[in-house]
Amino acid sequence: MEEQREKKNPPVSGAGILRMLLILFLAAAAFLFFAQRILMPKYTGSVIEGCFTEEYYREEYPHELLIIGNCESYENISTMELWEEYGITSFIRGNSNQLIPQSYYLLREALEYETPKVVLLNIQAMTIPEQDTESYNRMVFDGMRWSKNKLEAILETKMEEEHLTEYLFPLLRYHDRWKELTAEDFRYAFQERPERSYNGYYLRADIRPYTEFPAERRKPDYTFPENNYEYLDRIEALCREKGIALVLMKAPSLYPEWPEPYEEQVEAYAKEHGLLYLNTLEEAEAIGLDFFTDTYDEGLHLNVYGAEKVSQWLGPILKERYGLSDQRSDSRVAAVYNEKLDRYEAEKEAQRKEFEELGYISKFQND
Amino acid sequence: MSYTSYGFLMLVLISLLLYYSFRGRFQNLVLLFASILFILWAGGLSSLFFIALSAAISFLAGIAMDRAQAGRKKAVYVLAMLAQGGMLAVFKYLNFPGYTMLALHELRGLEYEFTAMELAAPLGISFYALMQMGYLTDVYWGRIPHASSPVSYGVFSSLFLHIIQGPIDRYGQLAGPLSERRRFQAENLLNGLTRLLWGLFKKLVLSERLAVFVNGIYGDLEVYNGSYLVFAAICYSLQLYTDFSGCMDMVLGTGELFGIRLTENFKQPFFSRSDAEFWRRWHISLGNWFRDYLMYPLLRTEAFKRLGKFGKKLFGKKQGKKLPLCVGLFIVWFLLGLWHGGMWTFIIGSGLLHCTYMILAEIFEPAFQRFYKATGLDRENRIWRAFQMLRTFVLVSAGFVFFRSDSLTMAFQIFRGMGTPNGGLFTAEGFWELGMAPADLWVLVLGLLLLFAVSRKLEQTEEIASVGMEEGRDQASFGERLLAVPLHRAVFATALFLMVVLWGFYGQGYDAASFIYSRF
Repeated sequence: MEEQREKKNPPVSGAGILRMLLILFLAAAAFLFFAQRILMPKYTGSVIEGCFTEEYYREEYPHELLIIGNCESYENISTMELWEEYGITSFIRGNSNQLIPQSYYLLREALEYETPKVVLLNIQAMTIPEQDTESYNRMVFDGMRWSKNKLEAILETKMEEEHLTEYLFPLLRYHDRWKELTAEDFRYAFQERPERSYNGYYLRADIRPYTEFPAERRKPDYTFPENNYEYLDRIEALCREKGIALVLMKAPSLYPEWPEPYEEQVEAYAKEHGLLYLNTLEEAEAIGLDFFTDTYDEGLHLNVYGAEKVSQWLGPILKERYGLSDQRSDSRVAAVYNEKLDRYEAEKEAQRKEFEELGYISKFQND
Repeated sequence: MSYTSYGFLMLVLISLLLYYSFRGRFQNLVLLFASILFILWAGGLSSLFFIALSAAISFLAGIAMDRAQAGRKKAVYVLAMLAQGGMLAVFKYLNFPGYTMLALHELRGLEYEFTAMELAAPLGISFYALMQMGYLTDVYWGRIPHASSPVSYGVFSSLFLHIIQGPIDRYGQLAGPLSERRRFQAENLLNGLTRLLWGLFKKLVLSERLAVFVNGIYGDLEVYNGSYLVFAAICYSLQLYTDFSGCMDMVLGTGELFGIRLTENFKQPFFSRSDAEFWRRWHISLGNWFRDYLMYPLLRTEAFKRLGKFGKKLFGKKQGKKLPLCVGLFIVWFLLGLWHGGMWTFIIGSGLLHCTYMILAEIFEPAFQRFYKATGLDRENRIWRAFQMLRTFVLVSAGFVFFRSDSLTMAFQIFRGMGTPNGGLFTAEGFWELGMAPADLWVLVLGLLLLFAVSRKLEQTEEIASVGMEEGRDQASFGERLLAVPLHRAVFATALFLMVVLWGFYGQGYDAASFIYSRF
């Protein structure tokens, strides 16, 4: 009986079993590699913010201006307007709810590729002590290239329930997306997806006028978190070390509120370190902002019309103060930027028309 | 740290690499060190302290018993047992009187103010306390010599594989393997991985999906009744099984990776044809512990022998001799239920209800015999067997309703609700409102079919007569019983790996970290 069984199933040596396991493991790993490419979100639907970090690496030419910060940075300044009007080459390394430490690591990484003349930091994130939404962290980090910067940034800012393992193997995070895959997930699994931002700028041409926000509850303490100060110091030191001018800016977002104690802290910091601080909320009139036409979400963020006004106001200040050059005369740079500008104008016009006809823009309907 | 955490997988991987790099007693040191790390991580310093204290008491008492005279030996044994039982009682049953009063008042619809005392029990105290008491009793009875190596006894007492949810191993069975050098064997790697992945599949693919139904329905008893509650009871039985047995598969599979065979704890319990058989296939190591260390010794006492004589006088020879058995069953099942926690939902759901089933089965056995004789029914008839399995499933599921309930009031509310006519579950709208995505339902159905197929295959390779008796030690491993050809096993393991990674409920947005039995 035993002999018969052995004849039917000849014993396999230990080395044979190990070989078999290794081959199957490699096959499974290859399968999971492909699965991961398909399952990773492509951010091509109504939420496109997850594309921004990655699109930085597609840039061919260095930038004279780098803008860093959270949503107030990538929705309130039009990089294309800066180019069109002043020939300023710029990129916004900003993401939804991007924390100050994350801005530091994204800046540190960017400075390994280039040395801009000016770094403009939107300082609203100084008020945010820690990340409260995991998907925002994923949007910051998923598109970031692996380096010491990324590793340190993840370890420093991940939420308690997040695991480094899931950043190392994103499949473990996105494994359950098999239920919601679309054609685009397959299309862009192994093919570069088209750029969604305009050098980090998020274009919105819809209009939703300002209405009054509910009053924010008074806080017992408005002091910025210690950790944010620490990373602001690091940003300042990094810029100083590289001979880059650091500019602090509060974007013209009406909400969340920007009470006096916040303003005083930023002013004090700017004064102490000899930095330029631009509070565009106070300059709204000079900029020409009309919160009934220049915002797409009732004053939280500006639409393209508002962002262009801010850029028109900002461009001359930066040019005069820091000598940013007009690069429109450089034909190679101009070719790249003008192509982006054409895409920008076309998108702006398409959104304008759709909004005019429908009163909304369909691709943002799920916002 | 849970067995499904990345941290646990890393701990196992690193421990394995070190384990097979060393020889002899150093392998036990690696296991001990890994176990200490695991306990510190999962339960903190206080857990480590109490586990070490418990182990030290038993180790020293074992030596003292072997060296002591008869009278003193008993004193040492009693003292050590009191210490182990005392710690268990303090940490687990301090609130038992309060919960009892609360349950009594609730059942009578009265208010009762009771605030449970918060005392964080050491990790796995219910499991390691029984292991320690089993060891002490075995040494006291002279079944095994006392442990001579503090390291291997330390490994037995703290082993990170069985410390949280069992199985309730016995030192006599682990001492041998722990004293030998364990060489790396590819066969162990294949079998261990297969079983580990099967456990992960049961937990992350099946149990967590079933939990969607169970939590949704039991979480809103004001809304759900009738068919929903019956469905929830069925799902919970399957959830508990896939959760607990899944954990055991992971534990035993990981044990195999280390070349250690731990005690089998499950043997396809839902193929049982009676409640008694069910408990010989479910949480086997616990049932065996109570059988060997409580039931048998109880039946051998003078008091029980006298009880037998008394019963014969009272009920006649045939039925009267069952009296000690019934009293013994009552004591054992009461304590078995109590072991799960000092709440009456456990005492009834995992204890007295089953005791009642078994006593009734004993009492009505002659009637059943007459029924079979009169009808000429073949007990091995497939339909009759299926009926018996279904009946057992229903009886057991009723117990699990108590087990799942927060209070007796809730359990009775569920049973009452089952009687309310509501066929909403059978409408598309009523079914999908439970929150299960269609794609997940497909995975669940296919997964349950796979579970059934695997269980059937294992059942065919089992010698049912030996269920629970030999504790599976001499049997072929899980993987070999399932698929004899190594290549088939390896392909099965790979498929499981892919299914767990892609279909498992884990990671962000899921809370699959805790196993149901880990709270005991």
